[in-house]
Amino acid sequence: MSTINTPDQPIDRKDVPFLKFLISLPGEQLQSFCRALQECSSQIREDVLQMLEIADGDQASQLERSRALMTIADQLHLLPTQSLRDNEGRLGMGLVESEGLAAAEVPALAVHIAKMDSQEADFAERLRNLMKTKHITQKELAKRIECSQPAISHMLNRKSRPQRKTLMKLARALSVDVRELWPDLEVAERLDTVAAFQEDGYVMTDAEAAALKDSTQPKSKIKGRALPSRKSNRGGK
Amino acid sequence: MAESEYQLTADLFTEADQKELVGFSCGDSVVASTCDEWIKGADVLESMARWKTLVWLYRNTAEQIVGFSSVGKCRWKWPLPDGEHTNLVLIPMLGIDAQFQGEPPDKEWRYSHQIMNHLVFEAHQIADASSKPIEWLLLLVHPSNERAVKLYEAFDFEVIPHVTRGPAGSYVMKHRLAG
Repeated sequence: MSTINTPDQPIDRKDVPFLKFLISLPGEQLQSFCRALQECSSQIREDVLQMLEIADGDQASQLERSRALMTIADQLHLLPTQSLRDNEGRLGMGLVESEGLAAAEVPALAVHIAKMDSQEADFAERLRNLMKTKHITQKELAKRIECSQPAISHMLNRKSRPQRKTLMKLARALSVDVRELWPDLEVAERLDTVAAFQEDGYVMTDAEAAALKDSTQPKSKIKGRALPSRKSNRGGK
Repeated sequence: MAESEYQLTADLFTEADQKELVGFSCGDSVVASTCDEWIKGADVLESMARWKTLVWLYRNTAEQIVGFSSVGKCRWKWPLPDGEHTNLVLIPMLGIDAQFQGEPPDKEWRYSHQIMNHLVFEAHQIADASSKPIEWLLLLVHPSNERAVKLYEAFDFEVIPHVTRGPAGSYVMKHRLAG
């Protein structure tokens, strides 16, 4: 007589987006996704699950969903043609498609994406040249930064965006300043700092807490001044 | 204050305004590029959507965009064992187009001063409207941006000692609104 094993624990609510996502992927894409998920670090796996939760959330805007899927594709070095969301917006749309949608929704993002694309091309060129100069093969570089050779190949063929952490590892492995690989990295880092500065729920360091409890700084007497609106100025004319 | 040809106007920024920012540039430095990227890219939109940040565009009488600023409210947690929240007003980013930096020569109408005065005014508005008291207005500034540090000091901001943020080591400056 055969028996059916049932899980010891019920399915966790947070696993639902992940399971829905797996079910939505056609065979070939499911294989690629599972392979990439197996090869990546536990931190990346956690990030991917978090992004899937965002992409599947009822409150998420189309733009937020697109950005979450773009992040997954970035994290897992998936090919742009590998679908993560289908045409009806269900989970399964490709990176290129999701970028196109995001760009259509926010014109400024189109400029941003175009710039990222050009930075990607420059990066691939720089990486290729550095590997040639330093006589390092894809296999050797992959070993040094502890990733797979196809991941390096994807970067060289502009099929995946490098993460900041990957850039740092590559720079170390090639003994170059990270800006030789991605000159705008400093700007990206500073934008990340600004975004983190606004995070609600940030836990202050002891030094920050001490500064904000410090009563020796007097209350400012500057109250500021309102400025007229352009519309009201026009209305007055 | 008497009327002046240097009077700025302030209008709330929307996504549609981004197409007007094509020629806007705070300069060539990393600090300036960060400002440009923030207001022209996705970061400003994310900040507005996620944290309800208010962003303003400043124009001169010739309708040229002189600069932008932003202000928002957030809650930070005290470290344990306290762990409670405190409400703060933050200035995530502000930038002035390179051609208008240090202009006009008359300090009373200097664009940077008009913008800072407007920001402090708006920060007070946010603090006054808050159900919980807000004592501090904070901002980030890179130590290399000495002109900005001096400007903020002129508006009663003080650098928080021994605190830096991000790999670039940005200072956090605080201005006491109340308390």
